[in-house]
Amino acid sequence: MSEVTKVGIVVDGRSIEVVEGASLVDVLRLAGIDVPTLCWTRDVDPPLGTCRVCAVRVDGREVAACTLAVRAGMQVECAAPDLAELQQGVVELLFAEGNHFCPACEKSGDCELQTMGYRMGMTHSRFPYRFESYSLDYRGQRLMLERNRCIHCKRCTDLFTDDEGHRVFCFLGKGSQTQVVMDLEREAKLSEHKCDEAVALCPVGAILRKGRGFDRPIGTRASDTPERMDR
Amino acid sequence: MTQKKVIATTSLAGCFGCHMSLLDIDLRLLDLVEVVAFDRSPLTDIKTFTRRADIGLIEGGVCNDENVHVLRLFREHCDILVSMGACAIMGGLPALRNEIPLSECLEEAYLRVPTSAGGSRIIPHHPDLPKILDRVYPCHEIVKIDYFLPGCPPSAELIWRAVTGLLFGGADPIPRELIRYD
Amino acid sequence: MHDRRGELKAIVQKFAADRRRLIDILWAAHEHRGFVSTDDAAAIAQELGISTGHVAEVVSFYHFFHDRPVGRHTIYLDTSIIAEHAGQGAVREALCRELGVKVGEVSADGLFGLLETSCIGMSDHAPAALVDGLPVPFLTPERAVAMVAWLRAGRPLKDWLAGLARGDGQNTALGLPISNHLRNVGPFLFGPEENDPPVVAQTATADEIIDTVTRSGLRGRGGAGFSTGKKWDLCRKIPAATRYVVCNADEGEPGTFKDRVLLTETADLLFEGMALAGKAIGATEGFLYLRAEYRYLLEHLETRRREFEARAPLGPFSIRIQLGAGAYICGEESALLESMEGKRGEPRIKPPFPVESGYLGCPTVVNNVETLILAALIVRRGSDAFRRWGTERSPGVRLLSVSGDVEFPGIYEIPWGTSLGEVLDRCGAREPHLVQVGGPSGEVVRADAVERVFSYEDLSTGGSLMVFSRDRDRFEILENFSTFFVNESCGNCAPCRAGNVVLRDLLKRFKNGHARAEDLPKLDQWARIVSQTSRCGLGMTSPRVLTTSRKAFPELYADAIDQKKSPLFYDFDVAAATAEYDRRVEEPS
Repeated sequence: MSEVTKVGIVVDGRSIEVVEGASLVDVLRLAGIDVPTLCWTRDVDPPLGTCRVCAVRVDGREVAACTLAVRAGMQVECAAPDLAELQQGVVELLFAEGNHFCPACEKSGDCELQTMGYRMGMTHSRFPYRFESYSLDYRGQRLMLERNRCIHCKRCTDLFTDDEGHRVFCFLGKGSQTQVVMDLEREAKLSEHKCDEAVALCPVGAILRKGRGFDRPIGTRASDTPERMDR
Repeated sequence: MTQKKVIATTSLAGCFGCHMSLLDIDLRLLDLVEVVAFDRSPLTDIKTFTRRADIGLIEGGVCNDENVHVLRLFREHCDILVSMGACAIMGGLPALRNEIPLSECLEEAYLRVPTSAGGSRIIPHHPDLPKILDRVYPCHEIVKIDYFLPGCPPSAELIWRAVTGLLFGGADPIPRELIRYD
Repeated sequence: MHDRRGELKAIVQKFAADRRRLIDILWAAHEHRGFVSTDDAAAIAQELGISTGHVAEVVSFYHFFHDRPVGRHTIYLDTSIIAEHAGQGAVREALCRELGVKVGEVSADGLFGLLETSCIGMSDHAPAALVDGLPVPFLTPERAVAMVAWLRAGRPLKDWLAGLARGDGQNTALGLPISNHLRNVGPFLFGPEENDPPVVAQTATADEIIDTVTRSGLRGRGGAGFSTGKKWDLCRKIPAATRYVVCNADEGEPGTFKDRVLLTETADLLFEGMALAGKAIGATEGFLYLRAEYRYLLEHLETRRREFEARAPLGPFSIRIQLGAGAYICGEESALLESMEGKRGEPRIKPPFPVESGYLGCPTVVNNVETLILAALIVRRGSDAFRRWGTERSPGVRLLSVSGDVEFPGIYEIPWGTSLGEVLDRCGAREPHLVQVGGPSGEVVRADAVERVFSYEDLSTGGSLMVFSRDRDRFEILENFSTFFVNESCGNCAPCRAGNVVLRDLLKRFKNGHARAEDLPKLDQWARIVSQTSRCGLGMTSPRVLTTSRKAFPELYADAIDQKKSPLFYDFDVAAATAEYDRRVEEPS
């Protein structure tokens, strides 16, 4: 491993010492600034950078914090109200794009998109709800895809592989027609553990175990108590 | 004695769950009726507005032409209009049908179901019956909505805070920590 | 029984079972059958040792790849606004009627597929279509029907094209009825070559090349305007064993066609520019990423390429022409590199930039066609010869592709600093009102802003110039642009994928007269969300359709709002919303 070099950056006017080359999201969280993220998971390089919720301003330009490695002298802004507006705007876009019927969702209460809405105080999407028709795929042996809820974060397509190292999920189509699909042959060979891993990896209720429903009683889910919502 | 504030409520394409949640404020109802009068509302069974309301609470989305009519009446007679619950805000569960063409829904519901009356080949329609819209609409696509109380239903606490906050002032009628979508 | 499996195996072998050549493999697989079925995808995947999904997701990404039959003859109608204004609608109707299909369908006899695609680089021949990969210019309903009859008779399209009325400057080299429409040649790029040294001195060192190009002030012609010399210098300073040069010929910005002309007229110079860049950065391999819409140039380019490689005027430098497969986003350099590596053209996270980590992770210089040609000329003639033209901060010349409501659509070479008014005069603009500078991702400009100048400081353009006269519906133009972005967003990031739909729909409200006063501020607010959070240039610039048009024509939006409308009751047509119900209940069941 190369040596760790410390460099100074400025965050909202405060100078802090950070490890050069570390992800800006990590650095900000260490500094106690909980920049919102959706697609981001720790230690993925290159980062997915698909949801764009972690909008901050670096040296006067808006960027997704997860896509940036820290350099000496960076001027980072996180607290400006216009940034919160961008972050919430993206979350609201996702709520308008998909069909997010939270009351009918198995993942409700443990959904990262929903939690993001709560944290931002979102009461509704400012954008017209689109009610697009997205299909379900229940042909898998143990997994099913509920595409109404997919936020296209690419965690499953890019980070998930079966025991042989092959991808199981991929994107078909492009633009607003993009949909996640599952390699049925490979899905059929997934271990129980791997199936659970896929479900857990999905931030929303788009990848589900068949035959399993609402298995977390209300009151025990992540968002049931305000304290547990804050990671 | 100061004039009581006036509330009106209605349930459009909803399940009355939001109204149940409103009743869940329990004993605080007694405090509320001291300072508030309910006008048009299923709770009072008053069918037409008898006076202007300070606040109108709308449960349910808009699924038929009667809903459109009622919603417009509420907008006309209420100073503040509130979308109460997931259905009013984004159609909610009734809007699950929005991805399916209406004719298909009607055929499935009235013609193909095993429980349809023997040999019945009729989709109900009558001048007295509301006409079904092509899809379920969020209320704020039909009229201006001033506030949104998410939840299915919104908790009694959120409804209480919002109603009292909007009628009598006070900090933050829709506190962030009470926002839930389920 | 046709051995499809064996055929696919042979194709994969031909490319040494290299998964990075997937685009080429898929082209070859299409060659034989016109599409790549799910079984085909599985077979290719197996031969390559990758998952079927990987193949399927690449197939589904590109306009010119298909997973189902699209007819023995496939017609792609150009949907750019220039084509629509020139009568594409009537052509579309005629073809639908003649073939008995809707757009997106295949005729019952399986002979014709009627599809649509974004601008095919034929705005000077509008309306045009690509048929079996060949450009069919100046379509009319009659001409389209005649073409169908010809093909039905089993005769070759090329012969029919050869019989079409020939335009001025007919390009006989290609054997196609298309013209280069060089309206304004010189002073530099298409200037007289007699005085040029035959070719740049082989002795020029990397330092000298970079020095000359840097001193010339040449900046990238793709739109971003980064200093070419600096880019080359950055790339060569990254320690690496292998470096690459990539020429971006994925000219997809609607309204532009200059690269089509440059590739036809000056391919040698382009290859020279690539070899120079190679010499400058220390690369011996280069790639020309050719947009699939220009596939008909492939043969011509391959001939020129072979000649160039044989001459090797700058020492050994090999060039491979990589055909794209139809995706505007691949004009974004990192998406282009992904595509070259056999993947979906989804832009990478930047940094690292291609100069640090490009093709196969190696330092790579990606330059526009025009940039590389200018670089070659600059090294031949010296930086001062270039700096003689243009302005201090925008030195040299650039090409404009002019189209729309003008007498003389075509290619105009102008020194930077030329005014909009001068260009409009020269191209014979007819009552110009709205001018789109730089394509949909550029800027909406009022035609009466004649004093504005083409330069990096003012009208910094990628080269597309679309002129619209007073009688055109401006909202129709803007909606066409907005729809273009909806169709071309790659889908990778949320704001671009979902946001462009929202922006298009907002624009439609204004167009359809349903906008309310409260919608006005949304134009800028929503645009800002998309432009400031998107992953790449597409989403960063697509909202400019709304923001720049509002700035140029504030009255357009203001007038679209009926101030008499109540702020409390929104437009909602109950009759329209209940029409389906009425229809269904009246139907005898």
